[in-house]
Amino acid sequence: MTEPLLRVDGLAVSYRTRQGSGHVRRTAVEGVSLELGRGEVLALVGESGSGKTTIGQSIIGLLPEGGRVEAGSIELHLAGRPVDLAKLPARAVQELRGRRIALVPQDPGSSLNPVQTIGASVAAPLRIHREDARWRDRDSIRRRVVELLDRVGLDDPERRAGQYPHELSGGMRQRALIAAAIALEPDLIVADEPTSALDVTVQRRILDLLDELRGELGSSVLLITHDLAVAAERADRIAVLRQGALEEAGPAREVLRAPATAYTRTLLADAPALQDVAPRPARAAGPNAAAPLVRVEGLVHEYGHGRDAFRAVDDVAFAIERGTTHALVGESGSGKTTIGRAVAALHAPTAGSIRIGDRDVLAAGGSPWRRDRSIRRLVQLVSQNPYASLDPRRTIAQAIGEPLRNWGPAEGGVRDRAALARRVATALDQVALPADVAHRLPRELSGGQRQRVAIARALIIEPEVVVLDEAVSALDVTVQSQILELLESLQRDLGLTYLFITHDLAVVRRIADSVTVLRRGAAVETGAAERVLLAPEHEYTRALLDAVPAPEWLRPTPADDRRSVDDRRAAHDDLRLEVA
Amino acid sequence: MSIAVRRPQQGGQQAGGPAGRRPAAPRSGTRARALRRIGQAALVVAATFVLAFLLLHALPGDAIVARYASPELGLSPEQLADLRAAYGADQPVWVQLGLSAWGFLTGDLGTSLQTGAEVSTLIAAALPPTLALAGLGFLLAAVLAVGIAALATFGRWEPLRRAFRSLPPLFVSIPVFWIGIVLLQVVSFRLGLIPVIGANAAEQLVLPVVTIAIPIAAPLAQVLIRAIDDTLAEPYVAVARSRGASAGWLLQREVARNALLPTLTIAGVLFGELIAGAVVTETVFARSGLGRLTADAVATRDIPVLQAVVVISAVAFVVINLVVDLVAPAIDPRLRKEVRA
Repeated sequence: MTEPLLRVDGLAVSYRTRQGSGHVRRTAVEGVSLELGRGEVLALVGESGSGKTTIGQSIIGLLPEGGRVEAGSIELHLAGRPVDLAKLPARAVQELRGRRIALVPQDPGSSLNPVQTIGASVAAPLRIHREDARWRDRDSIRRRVVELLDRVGLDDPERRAGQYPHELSGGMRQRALIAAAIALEPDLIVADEPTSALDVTVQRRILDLLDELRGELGSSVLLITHDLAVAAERADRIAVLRQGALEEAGPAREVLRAPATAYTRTLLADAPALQDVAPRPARAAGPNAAAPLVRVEGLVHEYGHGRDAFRAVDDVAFAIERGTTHALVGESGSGKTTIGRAVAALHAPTAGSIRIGDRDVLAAGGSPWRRDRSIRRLVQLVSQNPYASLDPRRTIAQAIGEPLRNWGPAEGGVRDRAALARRVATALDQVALPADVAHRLPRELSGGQRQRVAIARALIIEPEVVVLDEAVSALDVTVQSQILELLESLQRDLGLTYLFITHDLAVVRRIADSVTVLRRGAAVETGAAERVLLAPEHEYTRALLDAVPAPEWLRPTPADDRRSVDDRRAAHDDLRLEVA
Repeated sequence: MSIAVRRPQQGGQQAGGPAGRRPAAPRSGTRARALRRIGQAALVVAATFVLAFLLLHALPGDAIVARYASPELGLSPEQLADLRAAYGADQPVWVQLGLSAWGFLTGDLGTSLQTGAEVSTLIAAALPPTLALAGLGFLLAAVLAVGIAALATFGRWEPLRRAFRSLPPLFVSIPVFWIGIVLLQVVSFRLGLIPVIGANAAEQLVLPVVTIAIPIAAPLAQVLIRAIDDTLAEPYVAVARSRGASAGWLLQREVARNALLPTLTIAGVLFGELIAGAVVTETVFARSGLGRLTADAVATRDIPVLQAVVVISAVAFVVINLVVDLVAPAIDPRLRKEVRA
């Protein structure tokens, strides 16, 4: 076998963190060894805190302040003898950055200088590395920029070069960033979660583009991702990281088909896109079928006025039966959050009607100045980012108890301190949090625990309908899977009705009874989950389904489908015990 | 006076797919916005005029009485009444307001009660030295602020960075008059570098300019340091570094323009500080100018002069902030068109 392009050996990285009055060094990565061959894609997968981004930053020499490579080597084999990036002087590494090693960053929204044109951003590497005689004068740089923008598939590249980042969509910005990364034909492209901030259909096109360019330039790609399905679909080799250490590594198919460690097996089992789940079967029409609990009709929401008005939601209708989950699926800008907030009575739509049971949501809520708050006891919202929706200075008990304190005793509220504490304890127990969490602050909790707190807070006044707005999207797969299980069991026990807003079709497959697919504010398809997901009628639904990353060879076989839900859950629980 | 914080969010503003599909906002939109902004500015000046007029007239006793009623002058009550009539002080407040407003619009600022000179003549004499002081002071403040901020963020040696970071809070807490007095003591009396008497025009300016600059440089540097820190933490700076950018490149191409905007906003607000600073500085250094004129007018309750000074300060303040607002879109392209909700 030929020599690899990159060989990481025994890498250890630590960060300086504040503790009390002084500082301590905390190890983030320990003893990691990796190899990346020429023209190969190596995926670094792991959950948040696994050290995957730190490894990428060490390779490109851009550890954040306080970060330091403690041990090990990062050898880059260019023509001639290898250089150890970990020991090279900063100046020499700076020379290699952008020229031999390039970065495709995570968030295209904030990775382009907002006051520079796209052209200037793409030209930066050409201007920085002036030693290349080809890009010495303005004209040749301009021509090269247009050529690069054209290459990454931006239409009208001349015009795009003169535009500013805010005039482009997320996918277009990521294309521009890729154009800048490949400007000097680097040997190694470090792609740090390159598509995590993008819609699935855009994700697919960006990953295709990266694949194509890799083939063309013969570059190697280090693909850092939390998404096992993306890794499975795109990588030649996979390295699984856990808490800063290498769990296992090998060819993608071997690692994913026959994982050597229990941790990889749970990751696989928890990844929604790779789960062997069939959509929930349509329930036999119950006695309530004729009168669904939630009924949304002719919903229209416009932002702005007059000529500038923008129609975010355009004549959307759906119904949810009591005790079931209805998913609103769509890409960013599809209007799903706007609908969710209207159903949760947080803002009034321009037109349409929303009824929960026999109550008219719009008459009751919509405006915070309306007197009648009783609608809040009927419908509650859980939002995507539990950290932002919890007051950082209030204890968990205060946060969860607040809804009860907002109501008089006659309306189901609780003011008595002891009774309040009891209700909070019950609520914590309901979402499977230990009782001692009550006295902690949000920052002392993990992301999954915080989301449990948000759910407990929504449930404490016993609503019938819960709007879950991307409630599991920011969580690691394993935690996501646990929260979904929690939501399912709460629904079973309390008979809750969910409006589940998500961009992730794989999650829909697991949790929804019925689905509405949204596109630019309009519903393109609505119906039972089984029907929509297995036999989609609209081409957009099909495109969305196709874009869910999961290679053929990992798709569940028909035999798997025959396993009962209980079997799967039992096997799953065993795995988790083994890992813990 | 509204101070808009110009930190638009990138992304998030297009609710319906690529913003590129929308045609660029027509020029007329920008012009309409500028006109609206100028209208607001005029309104602020008008409101200041009325408020200042009413406040000055609410002072107990009127200026005529203060000036002429002292027993040494021996004026009879009839003579006083005639004087009041001559100055229009016997008319209802709203008539006086109207007359005064008309006067300001036609360029007649009235006559000083104390000296009997035309207020416009007094102002014309006082304005140039103050403009020189304020202009140079502001320039020096800007240079100091940029220097301190650059060394505090891009300095090569950590103790140096830390030292420069602690300068602005120190400067902020020193009162203007104290700086003036200490500078005079040290530079003129101890070191004898600048003669107290018989200095030429340029020499006379040095100490007042330093005195007025320091309290403005300090908050400016604080805001600039903060803005640079914020910008350095932006992902696009990390991306630029990943392209091989040096510290110089980062400062010039990535950070400078982005950090300028919040600083510019604060600079406009600090201009008010400059007016207050001129009063103290001109008094401490015994310079003639608008500040000195103000101090004297306050002492003698010379209402027409005060009214003129207040209005001129308001006009200057409003114009500076108007310029800041109109310049901002040139720095940040995101401000060039209406941002939709």
